[in-house]
Amino acid sequence: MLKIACKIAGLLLTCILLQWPLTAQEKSRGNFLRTEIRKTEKSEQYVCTLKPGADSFPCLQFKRQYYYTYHEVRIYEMLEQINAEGDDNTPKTTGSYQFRLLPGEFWEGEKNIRNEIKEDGFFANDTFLINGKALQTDEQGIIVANAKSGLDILDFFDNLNKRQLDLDIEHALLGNRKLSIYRTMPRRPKTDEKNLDEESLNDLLVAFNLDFYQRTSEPERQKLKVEYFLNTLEIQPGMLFTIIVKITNAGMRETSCLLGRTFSRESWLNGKLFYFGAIAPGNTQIFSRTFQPDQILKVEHCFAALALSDSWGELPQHQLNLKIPVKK
Amino acid sequence: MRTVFYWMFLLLAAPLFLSAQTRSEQTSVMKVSDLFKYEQEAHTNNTREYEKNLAGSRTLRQIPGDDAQVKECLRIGKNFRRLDSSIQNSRARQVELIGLINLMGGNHDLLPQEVTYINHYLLKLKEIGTEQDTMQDVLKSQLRELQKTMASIPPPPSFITNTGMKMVLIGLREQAFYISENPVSAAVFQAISAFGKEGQQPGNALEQNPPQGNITIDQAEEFCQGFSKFEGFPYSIPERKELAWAERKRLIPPLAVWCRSKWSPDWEELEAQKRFGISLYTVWDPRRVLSASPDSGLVGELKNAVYPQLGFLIITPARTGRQQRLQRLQAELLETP
Repeated sequence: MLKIACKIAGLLLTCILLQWPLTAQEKSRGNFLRTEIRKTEKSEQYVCTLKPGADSFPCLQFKRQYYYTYHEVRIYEMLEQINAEGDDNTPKTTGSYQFRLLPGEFWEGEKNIRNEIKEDGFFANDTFLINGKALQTDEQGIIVANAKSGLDILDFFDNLNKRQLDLDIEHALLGNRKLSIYRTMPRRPKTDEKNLDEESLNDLLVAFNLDFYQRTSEPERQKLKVEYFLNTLEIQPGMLFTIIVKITNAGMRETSCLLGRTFSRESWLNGKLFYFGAIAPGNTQIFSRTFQPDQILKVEHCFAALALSDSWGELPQHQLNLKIPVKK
Repeated sequence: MRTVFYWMFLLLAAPLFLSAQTRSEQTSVMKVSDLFKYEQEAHTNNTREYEKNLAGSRTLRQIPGDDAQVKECLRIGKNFRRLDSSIQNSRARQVELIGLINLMGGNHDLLPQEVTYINHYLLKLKEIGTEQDTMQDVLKSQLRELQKTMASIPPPPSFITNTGMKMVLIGLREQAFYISENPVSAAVFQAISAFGKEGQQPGNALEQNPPQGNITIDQAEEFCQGFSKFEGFPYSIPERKELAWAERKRLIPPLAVWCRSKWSPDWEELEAQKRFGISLYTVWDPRRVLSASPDSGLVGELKNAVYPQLGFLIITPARTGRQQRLQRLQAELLETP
């Protein structure tokens, strides 16, 4: 009895195995058709860049951005594989199978995540916390780093040894960003090797559209006309005023890395840099700085000197002696 | 006849000649005797003076007061030099006398007692000479000692310049110096400026107030040159270390003052000054008359800056006080007979 049952089971298994090639037709991937986005995640963010501004003030421009995350799948045709030969024992060749397109059926291929950032205009009239100071953007999404802003970007770089300023920017809803501003002076021609010198993105001098590339030939050092102007006749304690320095190159060569600096007993008037860089022959370059005198001024005049230097050294013959009257 | 006359003349003249010669020798011996007595007396006087001054020099340290000590040093020094000169003169005379005696020594017509006298004089003169040698050696060493004593007497704590400025001694030992008690006054500044430009001598009673302001450091330096020329001693603007001494001694000027030291608060500022080819000078503003800053009273100022509140002090080495005191006391000594 047991033997009979075993024989019946063996016959059934054989039948099943013999029937398999005929019933289980294999499916395979056909041609790529498209990419389907299965899921899209969208988040809002902002970007901040350094922009040149009026009156020799650096500006920070904020732009709104959307950050998209796409979960994608590659879709292919679905093919059915048909065995052309009845005998399974026959060795298979390229002609042994036939493929048939299965309409309405698709093969889902690789899954992919893709990110995309889309600009959405200026981040206007919103408040950002920059290095702990709450500042509001204007219609153009701009914050001017002037004396009132308290950002002191130019003041930070008045120290000739400082080359990089990191600003921590915070938005109430959109989180934190870090902006690194560079001041590369002199700038060297590009080489294959990347280094800090070649980073022109968010460079203060590049933002001012100043050419501080190192020159190899002798720059113009003699025929320079240096003038200064004040935006007020008399300065007042605690009141902002501006010194505008105008340099005209009346020579035949361009200047190189031309830089001015104030020297004074008054700490608020001392050590401010005026950037000029390369001034082409016949051209004029203007740079201005804003100063805030102390709340108490005990003198009738404030004395200062504007000294110049370029890539070849100091230029004492063009030093300006400033005598600034104080309103009592 | 003529021959007889000659013989008679010779017979009459010979005794007269011989008698005259003997008298002449007697006169020379007398003269030598007088000269010797004079020298002996001069030597006694010199010795007395020498011992008196020597005793005076030994008690110098006991004299109260630096000025009195210096004055006594000068007086004794003057006496020593005068004594030395006197001994030198005596020596010259004694050499002449010895020469005369030696000349007489060759004369065989001298009486024995005269020869004894002469030899005695010679012996005594040699003794005097030896004593004079010793005295001169001692005088030289005593003069050196006097110089040392005067150098060891501290400089006067203050002195008044010819223009009436009071200079006060501050600092220790080799670093001691004089600094003007007050900033240079407008009257002194103008007087010295006129002296420098036109050679006009400043008056005697110059006002020491108000202080001169509105002055650059170059003008202050120029003043110091003229002032040094007028006073005959070196004067200059103080440096930072000297102003630090003034601050320590509470010599606080009523206004800010220039300092000769270049301004270099830190290496970054110094590097900037080098890079731009500019120099700032230190200004000491202890009363904060130039700014209300609560920081240190030292600030860096441009050399062309002028303020009514910015003047200058002057300094001179400690030796100026000594020399000035010497001059004054020497003048006093000259006046005393």
